[in-house]
Amino acid sequence: MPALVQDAKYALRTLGKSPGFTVLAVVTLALGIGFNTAVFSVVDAAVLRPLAYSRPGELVRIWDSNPGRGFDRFSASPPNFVDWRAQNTTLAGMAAFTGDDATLTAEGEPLRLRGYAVSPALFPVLGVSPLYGRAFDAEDENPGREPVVLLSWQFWQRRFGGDTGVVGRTISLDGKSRIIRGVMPRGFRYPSRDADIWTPLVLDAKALENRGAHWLGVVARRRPEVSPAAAQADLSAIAARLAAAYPEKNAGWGVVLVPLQEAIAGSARKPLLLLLGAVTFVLLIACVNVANLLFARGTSRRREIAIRGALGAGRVRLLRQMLTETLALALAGGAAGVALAVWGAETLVALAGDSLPRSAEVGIDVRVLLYTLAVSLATALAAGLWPALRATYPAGRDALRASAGSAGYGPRAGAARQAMLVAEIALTLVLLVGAALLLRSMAAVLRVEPGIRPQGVLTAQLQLPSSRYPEPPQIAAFYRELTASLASLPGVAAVGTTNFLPVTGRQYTLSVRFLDHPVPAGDEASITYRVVGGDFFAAAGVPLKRGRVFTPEDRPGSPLVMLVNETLARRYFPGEDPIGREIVIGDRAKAPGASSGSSATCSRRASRTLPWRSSTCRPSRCPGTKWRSSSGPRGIRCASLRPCARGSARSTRSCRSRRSRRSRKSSPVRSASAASRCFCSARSPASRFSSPRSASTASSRSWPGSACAKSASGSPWVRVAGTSSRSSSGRARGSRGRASSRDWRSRSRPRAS
Amino acid sequence: MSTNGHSVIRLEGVTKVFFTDEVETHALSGVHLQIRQGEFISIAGPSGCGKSTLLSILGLLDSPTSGAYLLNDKPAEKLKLAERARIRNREIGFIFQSFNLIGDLSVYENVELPLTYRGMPAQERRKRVHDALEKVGMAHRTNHFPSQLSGGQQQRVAVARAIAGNPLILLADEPTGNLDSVNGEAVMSLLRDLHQEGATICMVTHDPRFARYAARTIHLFDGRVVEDESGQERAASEHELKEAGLL
Repeated sequence: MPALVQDAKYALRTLGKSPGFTVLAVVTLALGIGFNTAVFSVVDAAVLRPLAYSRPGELVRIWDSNPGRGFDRFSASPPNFVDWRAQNTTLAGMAAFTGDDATLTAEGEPLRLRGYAVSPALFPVLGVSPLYGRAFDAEDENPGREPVVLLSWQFWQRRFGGDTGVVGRTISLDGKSRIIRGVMPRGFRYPSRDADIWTPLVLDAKALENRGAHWLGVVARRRPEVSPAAAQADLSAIAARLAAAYPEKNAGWGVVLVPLQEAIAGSARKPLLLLLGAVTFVLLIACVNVANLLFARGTSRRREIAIRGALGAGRVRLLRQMLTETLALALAGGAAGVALAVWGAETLVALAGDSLPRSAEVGIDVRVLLYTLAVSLATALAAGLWPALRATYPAGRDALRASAGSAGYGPRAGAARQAMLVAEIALTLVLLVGAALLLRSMAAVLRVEPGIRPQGVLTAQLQLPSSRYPEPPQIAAFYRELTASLASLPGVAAVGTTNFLPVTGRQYTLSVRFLDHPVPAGDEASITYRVVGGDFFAAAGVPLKRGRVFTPEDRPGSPLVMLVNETLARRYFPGEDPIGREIVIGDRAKAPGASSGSSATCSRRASRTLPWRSSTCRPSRCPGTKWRSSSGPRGIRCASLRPCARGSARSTRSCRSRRSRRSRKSSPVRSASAASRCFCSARSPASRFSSPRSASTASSRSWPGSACAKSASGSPWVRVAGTSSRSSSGRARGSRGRASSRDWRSRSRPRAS
Repeated sequence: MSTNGHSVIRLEGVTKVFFTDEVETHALSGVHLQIRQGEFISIAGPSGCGKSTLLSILGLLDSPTSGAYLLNDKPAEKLKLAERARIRNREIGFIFQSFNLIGDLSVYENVELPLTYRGMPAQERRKRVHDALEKVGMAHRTNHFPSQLSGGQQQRVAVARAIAGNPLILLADEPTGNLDSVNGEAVMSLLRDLHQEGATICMVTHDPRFARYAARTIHLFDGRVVEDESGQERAASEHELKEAGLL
């Protein structure tokens, strides 16, 4: 130990006498270690670190699965969930959840909350208890129970200032009173990081009668003694029985269990690990650079090393001395790298936005510091070992006789330095090739035709409380009045509505059949669809290729019509004219069928009622509203929406204009999805929409096409009225990428009307 | 100071051949040499005769191409590197022409360095360093760095470093080569004092003035020992030359 201390003292003194070399080496290593640490902190939080639940290894996500139709992991249908829960023998508990956003009213400004309806078992399954109050009872999932709600710690702090007396009080959500049952602990926000409230999931008879409607997320805990494979086999056997018992809906459907941690990491795992690999290359390049510096430094210290050898220092002792110096450099670089990593991790999280799972957990903690320490040690070895081996190669008497400046390594050392140079160039080339490929991918993404024209488009999201708008005619009247009011604003060119905005990744999936091409039950085509209203296509800039767009005559009672995109038309009507063909939606179809597609459509349930109301209901109450300005978005503010909405109804949200980080990017896709959106809640755009890229990928990979429907009359089939442009083809126009750079969005709250 | 007859170093037919670009250079050819404990010998000869090569082999900094080398009656010609380092540290003290002090270390640390490699406890190191520096008259400069010392002072520190470990033999390679005559004489006086206290010294020099400090001189020429002259023989020889008016 004294020798080590002496080595360390000497290393520090030696490095201190060469400040130029020391600073250069430390900065180089700090960059390499810092980037590595920053990315690792993200990877660790998103992929590696065990979930903060009790015995997280036992937790699994359970999905319905139908690979034949492209659904490897799909939401569960309520009846399937109930059967899994009742029949399994390998799980200690199982819970379901679904999105259940709500509007807090009656206390100041209406506030939109991210809510989830969850099985009471969710909390025991995850092993989490409320901080105050108590969790849901098993009976809370039965219809007719007293409405209750659990608050997240963040919402509790934000809205109630951490008042512990809030338990037992009543709040108004969507116009209905709910009793606050408890407050969850600070770190708990499952299933999403922005969850504000949890309500009991009530599966009534209506929900349990349709096995074809998949809308539940399911999480479960394995019994400790049960292996993942055994649990999978258990659930698969149940799924097989269900497929046999309900072939119309369950044929082809299986079940897949995924460790919860893996499920949460999701698609972010591969790119994150790829990024970690890339920064590891950067670190290797830093190591090679520092190794070269050490080589040069070793040359000038050749004589000193020879003296030490002559005085009796063995090679191991000399190696230790040299490596101690490199270690000091690496530790200093690691310390500086940690500072860099703090900034780097924050930047990565900001850049990744919603696409990064568990981003709230990203930070420099003990695990990350230990990683940094390990990386620093490895860096010291990687950068210092070879130069140290070369420097301590027995020099003989010549080095003792030579002057300090002339004691070189000779030809062998020159070859070593050349080898390091080659390695450095090779590593740099690998990185450059990777960066070039990434840029090419980015360019390809930028060339993607999103199917919409985002320039000059503003969006807003509204939510109508069911207490005030209980019936479809009231809802329809509201939106009719709203769109008319907006359309009358100066500079507004077109106003339309939709349940989900394009390229947000949010959409419904629909099973359809074509009577011209009958298929067995379970082999129906799956399409994504949206419900649109008003002058949506003009507002969104979706060009009509053939047929017609919806008109006011497409109302309840009139024949059902839909628009399909080119992808669907090409796939299901190759060489045929899709206009006028019929598509069978759902299981009650008796009429001749036609086809389906992807950019804008209508659900079967929506078609039974009104354009703006679907069975899943919530989106129909809060459709995105688009309007296009003839003078550009600068001429219209979100505040414009508020008087219109207020003029139409009293309980809509105040509209707050917000510019997301993403909107500052120049991607045309982003400018379409995030840059030009106004929200009527305090929620940031980034927290509401998934990344456009993932939406685009999912759409093109999993679903063959899309369709857009307007109105309905209860018929299960619709007639194709027109064909819109293919949503993911074509080349970008020159000015497309510049739209997002406009600084027309304000961070400040708009003026109240 | 008299020798006790015990052989510290014995070379038998040692040769050293350097191979460079298909050229063989015979630096030493069949050298036979014996150094007894307590002897002070000098190795003399013209430049390129193999003096330093011989000293490197004696100091285990190099190994002979052939022949036998017994150090303290133990074969030393085929030792591994680690064992050579250990023996250099414990049995041999080096004094170099260019002092070879480490510039980043203080006087104290320079002298302490070989003791550190020996794994000696700090307290004993401190005592030995102090004694050695006292012996060479540099105890008052312990915290100075080599760059703050004159050449003569640096060589005295180097001598202190060589004797601090109480080695079996001191090997001095042109210890006065970088010094002026006054400092050279001072260093040689120091070596003579050490010899009189019992140290075994083997010194390479081409300066006859300093060679006379040794009791025995080995003359090398073209890698061979051409003359092994004791002090008495040398005195007689010098007397004859003076008689003949040649000296």
